[in-house]
Amino acid sequence: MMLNHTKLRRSLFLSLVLIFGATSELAPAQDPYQLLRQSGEGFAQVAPGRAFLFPQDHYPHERFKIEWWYLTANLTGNDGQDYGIHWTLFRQAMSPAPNLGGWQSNQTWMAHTAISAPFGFEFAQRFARGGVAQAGVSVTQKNTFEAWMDDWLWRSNSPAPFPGVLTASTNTHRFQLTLEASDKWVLQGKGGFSQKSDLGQASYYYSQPFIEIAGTIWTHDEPVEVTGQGWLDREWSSQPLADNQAGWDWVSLHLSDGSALMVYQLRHDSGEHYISGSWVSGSGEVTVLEVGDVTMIPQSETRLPIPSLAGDRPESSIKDIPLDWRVRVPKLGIDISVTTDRPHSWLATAFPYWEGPVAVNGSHQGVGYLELTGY
Amino acid sequence: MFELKHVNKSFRDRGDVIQVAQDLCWHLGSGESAALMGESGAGKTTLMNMIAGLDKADSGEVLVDGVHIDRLGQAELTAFRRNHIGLIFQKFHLIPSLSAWDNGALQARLAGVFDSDFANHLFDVLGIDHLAHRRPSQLSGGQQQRVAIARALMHQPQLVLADEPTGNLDEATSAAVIELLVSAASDAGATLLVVTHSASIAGYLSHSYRLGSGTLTPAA
Amino acid sequence: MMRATLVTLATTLAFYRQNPLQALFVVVGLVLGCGLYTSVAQINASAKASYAEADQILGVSAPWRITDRVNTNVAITDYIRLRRAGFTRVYPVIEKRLASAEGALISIIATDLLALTSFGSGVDSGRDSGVDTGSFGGDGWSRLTQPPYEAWVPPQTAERLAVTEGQQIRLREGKLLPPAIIRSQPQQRDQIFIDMGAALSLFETDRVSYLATSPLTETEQQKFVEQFGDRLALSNQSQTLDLSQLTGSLHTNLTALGLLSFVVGTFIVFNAVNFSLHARQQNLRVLQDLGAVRAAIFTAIAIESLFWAVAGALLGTLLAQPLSAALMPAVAATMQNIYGASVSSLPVFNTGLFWEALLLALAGLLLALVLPLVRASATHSDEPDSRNEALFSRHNVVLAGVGVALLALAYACYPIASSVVQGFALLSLVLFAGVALLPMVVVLVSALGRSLTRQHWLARWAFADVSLQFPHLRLAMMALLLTLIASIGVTALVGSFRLALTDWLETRLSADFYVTAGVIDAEVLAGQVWIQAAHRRLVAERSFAGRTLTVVGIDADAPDFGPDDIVDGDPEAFARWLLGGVGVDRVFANEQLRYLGGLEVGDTLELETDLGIRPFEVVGFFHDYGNVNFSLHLPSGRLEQLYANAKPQGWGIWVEQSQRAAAELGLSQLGLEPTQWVSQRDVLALSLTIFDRTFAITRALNALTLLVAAVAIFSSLLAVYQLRRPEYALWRSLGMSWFGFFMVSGFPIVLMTVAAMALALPLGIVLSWLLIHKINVISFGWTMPVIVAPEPIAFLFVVVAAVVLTAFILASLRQQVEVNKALKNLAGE
Repeated sequence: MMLNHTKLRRSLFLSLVLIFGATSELAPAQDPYQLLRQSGEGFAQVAPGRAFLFPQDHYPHERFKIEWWYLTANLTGNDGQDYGIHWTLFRQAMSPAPNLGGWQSNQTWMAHTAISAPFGFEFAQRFARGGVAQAGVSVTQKNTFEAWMDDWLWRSNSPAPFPGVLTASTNTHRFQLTLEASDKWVLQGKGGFSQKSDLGQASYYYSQPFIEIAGTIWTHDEPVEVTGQGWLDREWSSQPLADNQAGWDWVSLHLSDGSALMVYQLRHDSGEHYISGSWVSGSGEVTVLEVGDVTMIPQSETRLPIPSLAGDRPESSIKDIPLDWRVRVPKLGIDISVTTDRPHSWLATAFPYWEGPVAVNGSHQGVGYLELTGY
Repeated sequence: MFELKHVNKSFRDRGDVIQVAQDLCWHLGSGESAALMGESGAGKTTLMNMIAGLDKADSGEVLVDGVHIDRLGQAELTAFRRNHIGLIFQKFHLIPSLSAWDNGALQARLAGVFDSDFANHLFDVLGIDHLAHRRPSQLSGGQQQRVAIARALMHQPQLVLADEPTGNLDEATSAAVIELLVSAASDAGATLLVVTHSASIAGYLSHSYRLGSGTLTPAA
Repeated sequence: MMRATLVTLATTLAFYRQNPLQALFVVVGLVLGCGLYTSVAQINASAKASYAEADQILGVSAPWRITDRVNTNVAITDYIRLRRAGFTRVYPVIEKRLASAEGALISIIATDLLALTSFGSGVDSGRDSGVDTGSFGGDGWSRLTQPPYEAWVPPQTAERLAVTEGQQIRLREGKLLPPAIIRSQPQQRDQIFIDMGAALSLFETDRVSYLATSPLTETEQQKFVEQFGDRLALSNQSQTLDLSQLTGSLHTNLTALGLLSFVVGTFIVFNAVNFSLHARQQNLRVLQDLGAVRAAIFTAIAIESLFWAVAGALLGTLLAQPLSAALMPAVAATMQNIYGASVSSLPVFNTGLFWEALLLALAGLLLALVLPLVRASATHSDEPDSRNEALFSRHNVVLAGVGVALLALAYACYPIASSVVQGFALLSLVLFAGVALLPMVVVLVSALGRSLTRQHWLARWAFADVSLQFPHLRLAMMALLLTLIASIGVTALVGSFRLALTDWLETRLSADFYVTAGVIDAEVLAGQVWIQAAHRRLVAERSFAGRTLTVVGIDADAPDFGPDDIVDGDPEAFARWLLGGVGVDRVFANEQLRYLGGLEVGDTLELETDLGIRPFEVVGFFHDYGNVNFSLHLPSGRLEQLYANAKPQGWGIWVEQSQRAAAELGLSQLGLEPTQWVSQRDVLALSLTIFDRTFAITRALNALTLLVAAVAIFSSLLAVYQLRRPEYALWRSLGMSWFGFFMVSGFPIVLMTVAAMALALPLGIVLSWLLIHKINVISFGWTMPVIVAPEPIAFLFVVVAAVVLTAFILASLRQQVEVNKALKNLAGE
C-alpha cells in the first residue's frame, strides 16, 4: 500500500536526526549529542536566581528546548537478587516558535525503559509527537500528576509525582512500582541553577534522592517482588552542553549512612573537566559540591561490545568504557570506589549511553546508578 | 534484320578483361537463321544480350529491324523487345504459377497482339496442345522448352534469339526441339539466332559463326 | 577441426559483410523481439516488486488493519486510545487518491513518522545510509509538521505532475498541497507523502483512512476485542487485499503481449536466418566439397547463432530500458485506476531479465535454424518451383484442420475455463487457430479470385503469383495476423470499456450538478426554482466475504437508478424492491457479488445492521463498472432505518437543460464556493481522461507489435524479391512495363493483407468477447456489453494498409536497379 520498509527506516532515521540529533554544519549527524550543544537561540534561557514553584515545576517547560524526568532505582528482589530500574521521559521543543498544539505541536517526546536483572539487561525506547496525548506530562482532570508514553505510565494521586505508581515494560520484561517520597525537593547547584561549563551553559535542576519503592518486576511473566530506593532527577535547559564538551559522567549514590551523593563531571575535549555535585544528609541538608570540593577519576576501562542501533548487527563495535571510578570529597571524608557487576548496561538508543547500577565501597558502602554519555 | 556496326564490348571477370567484340560488324538478314558458336567464355551470350537489348555495347551501333536499339531509353527498349523480339533461354524460364497456355501466351498478351487461333496453331505445331493446362512443374524439360518457343513466337517477332535452347535437354529431345524451333521461326518469317556450342545444332541453321577474341568468323 | 571451423565461420560471416541488410534484419528481429519482451517483463517485475514491498510493510510489519465498525474512517482519538492501551505497533494512515486541478491523478499518503519508530527490533541509526541530512537543517521536523508543512514528492511523480521544489500542487477542488520537496525516497512509488498533522488539517478531518498494525498475539487480540471490539474491527489485511492476486490478470495480459511481441520478433529472425542460410547454401556446399566437415559447419553456425543471440539479447535489454521507462507510468496509472494499487512508475532493472531475453533469443534462433534444415531434408529441392503448387497441399489442409480443431477446442473449453490462466489459454487457442487457418484462407481467397477473373489473363497471373510469394511471406503474415487479432481484440475491449464507463457514468452521474456533502441542506435546495430534482445517496459500509461492501440508499424517484438499470431481475423486481419484504429486505446487488460473491437472484445474505443481523434478498443485479467493492442498493428510507449512521453523499441536482446557466448562477448565489460543486460534464471529462491515460499502455504495445510485424513483412519481401530476381528479370525481358510489373508483384501482398484482415476481424471479436466475458469476469466479477465499433477497426486497417504499403515500397526501392542488373544473367549458365 504505501511506504516500504527501506523507505520507512530511512525516514525513521531522518526523523530521528531531525528530532533528536539535528545537525549543524559543524557537527555531523554522527553525534546525536550535538543537539545538546546547539545554541538555544530563541528558546527560553536558564538564568540564576529562579524561584521554583511546586507542583507547577513538575510539569513541562515548553519554552525550553530540552527537559527530562529521570528515575533510577536500586532494588532487591524476594529472590535475594539485585535489580535495577531506569525510566526516563525526554521532552524536546523542535522550534522556539509558539507551540500550536495538537497535531501541529512543536514538542516531541522520547522515553527509555531499562531493566537490569541478574540474568540480563533489557531496554526499550519509544518516540511520540507532542500535542496528541500519545505522550506527555500533565495534570489530569482529577488534578493528579501523570507522565506517560503510550502505556508506560507514572500516575500519582496528587498533583506531585508522589505517591505514585509507575508501570512500564521492555520487550519481555515489565514492572509496576509504587513510589513514595517526601515533598522535600533538593535544588541542585545554586538554588536549582546548575552550571555546566564556564561559558554559561546551565540547566535548572532539582532532584528527589529519597524514593521508597516497592512493587513487582515480571521477567518473562515471572513475578519478583522488589523493594529499594530510587532517585528522580528533573532537569530542563536550552543548551546544557558547551561545544567543547564531549559528554558527561554522572553518579547518584545512596550511602550506607542514609545520605545521598550526586556527582557529575562534563568532560572537556582538552584540559580540565567541569565537575559539580551535591551531598544530601539523611535529614535532608544539602551541601553543594563545587570544583575543588570533589574529584571523580576513572580507575580502569572495560572493553565492551556495543550493540548497534539496528539490532540486526548485534555487536557492531567495541568500546572502552570506564566502569571503575574513585570518587573523593575530602571535606566530607568521602573516598569511595564505584564499581559495577553489570557492565553490559549499554543503551543502544538514538542517544546511546551507559546507565547501570553500581556498588559503593571504601569510606562508605552503598548502591547507586552510574551514567556515562558521549563515549 | 539486325546489324552490328563497329561494336566494342569488354567486361572484367575475376581480374581478367574479356574482349567480347572488337570493332565488330555483323549483319543477319530477314528470315535468315544463324548459329553463334565459340569457346566457353568467348562472350556469345553477351553478344546475344546486346542484340536483345539486355546489355549495352561499349561503343558502336546496334540496329534491329532498322531501329537503333542502343539509342533507346529503358521504357522504349522494353516496349521494343515486347513487340519485336522473342527470347529463348537454356533454363526455359517459365513462370511457375502460370499454365503452359498462359506462359506461351504471355508475351503476346503483354504486346497486346494475342491471337488464340495462332496460339492454337503454334501449340499444335509444337506438339504441346494437349499440355496447355499444365503447370511448368508438370512438364518435362523438352515440353517446357517447347512452351518457351511458343512464348517466343506467339507475338510474331521479327527476331528470335535463343541461348543454348537445348543445353538442358538430352540428345533426342534436342534434335526434336531445334527442328521445331527452326521450322516454326521460318514459318513465322522470323530471323533466328541460336547461341550454341554444338555443331550438330548449328547444322540445322543456315549460317554458322564463331566468336573468338572479339571477332566473328564464319564457321564451316 | 578448429581451423576448419574458423575458415567456415569466416566464410559464412563474409556473407553478412556482403549483405549488411540481412545482418541488420537478424539483429532487428532479435532486438525488437527481446526488447519488447524484456520491457514488458521488466514492467511486470517492477510492478510485482512494488507489491512485494507493499506486502513488506503490510505483509510483514503491519499486515493487519483496524477499521471502524460503523464509519468508513477511524477517529484519530481511537488511535491514541489504542496506543495508550499498549497497542504500540499501530500507526495511523490517511490514503487519498485525488485529481489535481490539471486533472492529473495524485496519490497522497500520510502517517506519523514518529509512530513508526516502534516497528522493528531497534532503531536504524542509518549511520552508513549516507543520507544527506544537510537539507534538513535543524528544524526539519518543524517544517514537516507545522504550517505550511512539506509535501515529499518523489522525483518521477514531480516530473509527471510537472512540479518543482517549493511549488504547491492545487487539487481539483481548489485546495493546495503543502510546498513540494522533491525527495528521492526509495520506492515511495507514485505517492506524495505528507505529515499526518498536515493531512488532518488539509482534509479538515479528525479521522484517518485506517490504522495499520503488526500481527497481534492471541492475548493481544483478546485484549483488543475486550477493550475496543464494540467499535473497532481487526482484520488481516493480507486476506482482504491481495494486490498480486487482484492485478494478476493484467500481468498475465502484459506477459501475453510481451510473448506475442517475441513471437513476432522470432518471425523476423526466422525469416532472416532462413534467408541467409538459403543464400549461403552454395557457400556451404562448396565448403563441404572443399573438405570442411559437417561438424565444423555446424560449429560455425552455432557460434554465429550464439553471437547473434548475445547481441540481440544485449541490445534488446538496452532497448527495453527507455521503452519500459516510457510505458511504466501508463501501467502505474492503470494499477491505480482499476485496482487502487500504488506502483512505482520507475522500472527496476533485473539481470535475470537479460538471461531470459538471451534464452528466448537462442530459442528463436534455434527454431529459425532447425525448421529450415528439417524442411530442406524433407524436400530435396528447395526451389520455389517445387512448391508453387503446394498451396492446396496436404500441409495447408492439415494446418487448416488444426485451426478448426483449435477453435472447436476453445468452444468446448469455454464453459470450463475458470481461472485467469485458463482464460488466457482460451485466448491463445483463438490466436493459434488464426495462424493455422491463415494459409487456407489465403489459398481460398486467391482461388476464388482466380476463378472470378478467369477471363483476365493478367488478373489470373496476379492471383497466381500469390502462390509464389505466400510461402516466403507466410511467417510475416502470420505475425501480422496475430498482431491484428490482438489489436482488434484489445481495441474492442478498450472501446467496450470506454462505452461501458461512459454509460455507467451517465447513469450514475445523471445529475447535472453535484454539490459537496454538508454545504447545503434540503430546505434551501427545495426553494430554488431552477431545480428539477435533487437527490442524495446514503452509504453505509460493511464487509462481506473479505471485501468491503457498501450499502447504498437510493431515492426511488431519483433519475439515476431505475428499472432499466437492472440486469437479470424479474420484471417486477423494481416494484418488489420498492415495497420491501416482510422479515427480509430486498436489495439489488452489483455484478461483483454475483461473479465473485457467488450470489444469484433469490439468494439471501446476512448483514449486521442497527437492528441486529438481518437477511437481505437479492432481487436483481446492476452493472458496476470498475468497482473493487461489493455493493447493495436499498431504498433510502429503509437504509436510514437500518443504518442510522449512514453517511449522506453530496447532492445530485437535476435541472432543465435551459436552466443550466441559471443553476450555475443560483449555486454561486447560495454561497457555494466553486470548489463545492462540480458539473457532470467536468466529472465525465475527467473520468474519461483518466481512462484514456489508463489504456495508453495497451495502445502503445499494440503499436509496437504492429511495427515489429511491419518489419517482418519488409524483411520477408526483401528476401522473396531477392530470391525471385531472375524471374522478375524474365518479366522485363519479355517486355513487361514497370507499371505492370509492380501491379503483379505487389498484388499478392495486398491480397494476403486483406486475407489476414478478413480472418482477424471475426477472431479479434471472439478475442474481445473472451476478454470481456471470461477474463474480466474471472478477474473482477463484472461484465459489459461487447461493442465492436467500426471506426477504430477501420482506422486500424487503414494503418495496417499504410504500414504494409510502406514496407512494400521500401522493399521495392531498389527493385528496378537490381532487376536490370539481373537481365544480363538470364541467358547463359
